[in-house]
Amino acid sequence: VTEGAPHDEQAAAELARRAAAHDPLAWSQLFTAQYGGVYAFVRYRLRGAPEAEDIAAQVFETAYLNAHRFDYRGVPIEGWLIGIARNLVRDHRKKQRRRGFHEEFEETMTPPISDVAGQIALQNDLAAAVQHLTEDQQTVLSLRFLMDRSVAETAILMDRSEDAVKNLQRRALAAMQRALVSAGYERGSA
Amino acid sequence: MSDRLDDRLARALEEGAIPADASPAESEEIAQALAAMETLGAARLQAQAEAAEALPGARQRFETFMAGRQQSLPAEYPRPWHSGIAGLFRWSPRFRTYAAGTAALALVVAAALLVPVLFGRVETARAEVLVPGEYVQFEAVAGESSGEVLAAAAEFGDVDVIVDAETQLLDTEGQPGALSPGRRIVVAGVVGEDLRVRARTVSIAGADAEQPRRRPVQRLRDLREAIRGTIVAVSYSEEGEPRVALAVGRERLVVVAVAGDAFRAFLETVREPIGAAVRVISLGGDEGPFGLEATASGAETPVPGQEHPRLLTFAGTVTARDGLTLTVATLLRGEVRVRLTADTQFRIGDPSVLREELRGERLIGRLVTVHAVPDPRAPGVLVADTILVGREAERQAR
Repeated sequence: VTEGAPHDEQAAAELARRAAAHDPLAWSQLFTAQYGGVYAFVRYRLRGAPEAEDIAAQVFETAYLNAHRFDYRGVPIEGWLIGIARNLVRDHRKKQRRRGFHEEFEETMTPPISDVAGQIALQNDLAAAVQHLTEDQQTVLSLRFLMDRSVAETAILMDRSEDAVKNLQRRALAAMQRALVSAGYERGSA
Repeated sequence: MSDRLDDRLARALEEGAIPADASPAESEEIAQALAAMETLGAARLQAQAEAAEALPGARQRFETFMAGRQQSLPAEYPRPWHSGIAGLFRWSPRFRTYAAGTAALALVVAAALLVPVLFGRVETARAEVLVPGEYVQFEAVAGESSGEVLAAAAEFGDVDVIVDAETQLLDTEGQPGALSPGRRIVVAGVVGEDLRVRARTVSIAGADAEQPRRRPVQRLRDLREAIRGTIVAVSYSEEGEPRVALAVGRERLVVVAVAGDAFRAFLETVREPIGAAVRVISLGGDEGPFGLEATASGAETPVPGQEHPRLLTFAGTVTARDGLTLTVATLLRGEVRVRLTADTQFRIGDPSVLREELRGERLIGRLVTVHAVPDPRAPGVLVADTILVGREAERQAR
């Protein structure tokens, strides 16, 4: 459990209530607790750190604007932030694809052949591999391994059973490893 | 088998080692997963470092954003104290008691004297008209642009309009136009989660316009008085339910949820909905459903100097289809040819229609509301921006 991430239901409900009323202190607390996680969640779905910073900031701005709509029903506000992050990333990528950035993105993310045997930047490999996963697979990997959430917490945040999360994470890890290997990245070569 | 493997992998991820009771095949798959997890672990460290570096700037951005929004929020919670004399009182119980008493008194006074003004808070008004996910069309006055964001002043508040490479800018002749501050514009686009409008088209009028008058907004719940006004915004929910904002006199804006069929019927009587003068009619009791009826002036051409831009909105029935071109029969315009493109958006007002059927023959015979722009390459043909698909026309006659 990450510091500041409320998993006590009463505390989470209270924080959600205060956030819904636009209490600045609640938002400050939420921002401190959740920024790193939200940033990590979006980081490898985007082209680079500047985009991740911008989208992470938009997540909190969007959440703040729509705070009155948040209805606490046992799912912590973090789950709502993740949902917003997913939507913003999806919109962002759709827009880039329409503008032709997709090809450019693929180009920059796929290492040149001459690099395959040499140093390959982790972020490029990972970002390229992530493109081969389904959205649910991306989400489960982000929550479990980039945000360090347990299976139980991931299940709550994704509104799935723990068994479903375990199954999804297995498939996601396998798909990612396949993508990493096919991209020429093997553990230890970087 | 799959469950067993899932459990063993979960155990391996916790312990960082392949369980001793795993079969060779399971061990192989778990080893692959652990390798992927190791890559993700390195990525997490990198993301954490980047996030830590970005945090101060991000916090400043968010605090600035919150401070800006706090101005239009109810004073249920104190605004953040930063520095200065006010900060000296931050932890003073006497000051807080005094402040609470003053606030309570102010609230009573405000409730007695200023209730109508509360309707006029820009944030409230904007939120009544702009709903995330909805298609919206509204008139406004163009302000300054910053990057892709155009500041637009509408009657229901200031709106950030995203104008990007996908946005069509059209002048009154339907030709590509240029935005400049002070021009009257009609924006059509989709409302984002942050209440910014991602513009699909911006139509630019020939003449400069005055800044819009800000008025209180009310949602029409019952029709106990006659309501006449001018349409300043039209929106559709994702389910295709239309809503209009009417400027009623100089005093207020009224948001009216209009029955789908009634709105289509209304569109068949006016050249354009934005700017049309209408009265609200009841289709049932005082509490709705509601329809619209164009008043005499509403059916006329727009006021001189405010020539209506060339984003066209009309309703009709799809009578034929030739490839990607539909023929839509309308009352005012006769038969109109409308070309579908990959960018055409559909809003489905009839739950029996499946999205994947939209490009097939099922559109023929259906009532549609079309937002379209002239096709510069083919005179007489319109390019569909957004189409609201309603039910089959023959059912209307029953």
